[in-house]
Amino acid sequence: MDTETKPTFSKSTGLPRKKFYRARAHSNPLSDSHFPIPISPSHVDLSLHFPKANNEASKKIEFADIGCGFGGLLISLATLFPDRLMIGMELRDKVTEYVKERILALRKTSSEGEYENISVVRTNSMKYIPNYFEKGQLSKMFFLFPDPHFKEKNHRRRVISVDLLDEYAYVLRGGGIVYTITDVEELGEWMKSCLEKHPMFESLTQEELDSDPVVELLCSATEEGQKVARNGGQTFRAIFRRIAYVS
Amino acid sequence: MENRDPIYVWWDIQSCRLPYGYEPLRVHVAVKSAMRNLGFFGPIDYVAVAVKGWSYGDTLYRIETTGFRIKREYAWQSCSMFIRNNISEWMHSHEPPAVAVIISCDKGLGSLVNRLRVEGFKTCIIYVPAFTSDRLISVPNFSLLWSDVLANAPLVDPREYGLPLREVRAEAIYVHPSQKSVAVTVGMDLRVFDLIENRRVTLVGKSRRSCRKDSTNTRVIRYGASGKFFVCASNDGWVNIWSAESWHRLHTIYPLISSRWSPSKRVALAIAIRSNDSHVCYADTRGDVWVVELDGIDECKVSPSNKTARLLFRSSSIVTKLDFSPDGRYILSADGDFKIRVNVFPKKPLEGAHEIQSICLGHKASITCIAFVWNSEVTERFLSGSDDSTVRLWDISSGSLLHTCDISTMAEYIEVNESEPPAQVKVTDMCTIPNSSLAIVIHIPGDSFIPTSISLSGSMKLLWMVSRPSNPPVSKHPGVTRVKAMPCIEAELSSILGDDQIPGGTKLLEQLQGKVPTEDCGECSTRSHESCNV
Repeated sequence: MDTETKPTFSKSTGLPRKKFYRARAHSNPLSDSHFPIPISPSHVDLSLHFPKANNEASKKIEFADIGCGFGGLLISLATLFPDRLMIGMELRDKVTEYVKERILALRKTSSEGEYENISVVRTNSMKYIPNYFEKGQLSKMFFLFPDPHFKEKNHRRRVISVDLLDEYAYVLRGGGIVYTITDVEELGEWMKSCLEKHPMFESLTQEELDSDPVVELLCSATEEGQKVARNGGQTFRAIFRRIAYVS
Repeated sequence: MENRDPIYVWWDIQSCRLPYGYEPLRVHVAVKSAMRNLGFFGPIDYVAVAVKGWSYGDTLYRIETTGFRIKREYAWQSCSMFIRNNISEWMHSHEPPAVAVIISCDKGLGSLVNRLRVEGFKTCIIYVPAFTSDRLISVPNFSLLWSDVLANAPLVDPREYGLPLREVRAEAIYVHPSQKSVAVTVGMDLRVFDLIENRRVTLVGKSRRSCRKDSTNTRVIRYGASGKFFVCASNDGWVNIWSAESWHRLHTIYPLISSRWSPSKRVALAIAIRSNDSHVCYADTRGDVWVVELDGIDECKVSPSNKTARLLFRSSSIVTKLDFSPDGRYILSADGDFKIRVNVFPKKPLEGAHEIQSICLGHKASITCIAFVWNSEVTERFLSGSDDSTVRLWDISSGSLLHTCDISTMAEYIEVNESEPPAQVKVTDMCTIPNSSLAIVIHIPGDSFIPTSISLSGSMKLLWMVSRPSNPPVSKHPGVTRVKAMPCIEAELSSILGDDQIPGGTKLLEQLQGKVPTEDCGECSTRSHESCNV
């Protein structure tokens, strides 16, 4: 078994060890990196990402985790929604490698054929989201603990802004939900106000939030979220639904 | 006996400018060969005077690598004073015989040149005719035209110096919908010829520097489909709206300073006017698309509330082309990621266009032109041509690719060389003609002329085309921008009209092209400052 010979994998769990996949937390999303991009959504090869999932012809990716980091949310969601295809998008090279190895290892060690419905891709989601998803394809989008870009001159690099929300509204279907969470108060205010200003998003009511099983995962599933809980920090959520809009 | 006296050259860059697209590395060779022609073979010392704060790109760097010493002055008016003082000092420290060459248009040089002659120096002035007086030209021993000197320089390939080729902005031609006027942008020059009054029109826009009129600083222009408006964006960031009939300036949109941290002005790269003349949109270098309402702009009445432009939407990369669909429902933008974004044009555009109708993906290189299908029943389709040698047909509401047409296989007259890989044929512009046909101009590498833009006149009789010599030039005489017209009767393109058969005739060609070349390979130089004001 090749996992035994790979030094970057832990011998006991068979999972990759994070120590060998460390990368800087920040990456400039506006720079032109060179990685392959599908020419159009129909060129996205689903059999490459989800080889064993029951791929009926009409099955498409429904959940997208933008900036998935080390993949914590995807792994928790995989068992919660076993029949939906999900993908994580991450800009950093090493971190994407880590998530890929982790998913492969989990698929191997899982007995019930779980984790066949998640995958990760290295891409710049601010520029290339329309290349991956068609109009109205996604039903959930996740933006967990995005880079705050504190300086005002860097605000245009933030992943949630009124202009980028146009593109996210395009790939989300009517009724699709955007989940955002952060531990930086200013960023939380910013994201909430962007979503409120945008005419195609409306806030979810408290009952809807309570009945959604995904909401609790936002704080607890990811490494970043667990770190915030350990330090006893406060989190700021903004969860909005995409509505139809008549211009 | 060759004359081996030392030659000293002073060049006032801001008065004798280089024509757009001229390779600066050729200047020193140009001056040297001009001196050789006059009989002077001595060593040459070069000095050039530039203005501090003006952006020259890398022109000054290139000039410096060829041996010029660059001096900077604080204001453009003081360049000529600097040269005069410099020459006076030089006169005291140097002995005749020597040759003094002054490349400048300064009228006050007369007395200085006289003194030089009296002292025994040989003098030569290289000038631009529009700005010099005849009195000045008669004083020195020799006088040459700047454009002649530049034209007679042998070609220099900047790659031998380790420098990249310069990018030359493509020329564009636009015809008024009812063929009342023709406008051509050549480099930064805007030349408009009014066919009704048979004269050249000079547009004076508001600009930061009063010496730079809109005519020499234009980036992009557009006619409105109804024929009433003409919009022009200058390199300074100003956007002006003119009446296409009376040529009055109707409205000015002030340039936007992007932010506290990058106070450079944002230049418009693409303009579109809605077919019912309600709005003008333009896209700037950052990828932002702005909208201005045109309601109430009529001849001389300008309502004060319309002075500002509002952000319509923002794209994540640079927007190169902007277009409204013929029914005015959608606005299309082609951007630097090779996609075309179709936005629904909202009922209240000043609040922003948030609804994306579709995104058309499929091109593999930058998109150069968008054209709509003329058939009024099928308004839901459009075509796009790009540098990847394809023309693609799209459906507007779904964004799906309906058909791809590979141009390189269709152009019959390309010789296919078996040993070389197929040359990349680029689509530079295209135009739809009624009766469902399409005219495309392509750039075949290796051709000496590249057609860069075509435009159809509203009465559908003539297809106008502008072409420019290729860069790097293929022959020694690179030739000048050419304007041609072709009649398209019943969707059949007949042969190109001769120079005297074009409406406006040779006068139009003279004003729009520069000089009327006598041979087809073009023997006159590119124009510099010689625009004639009517």
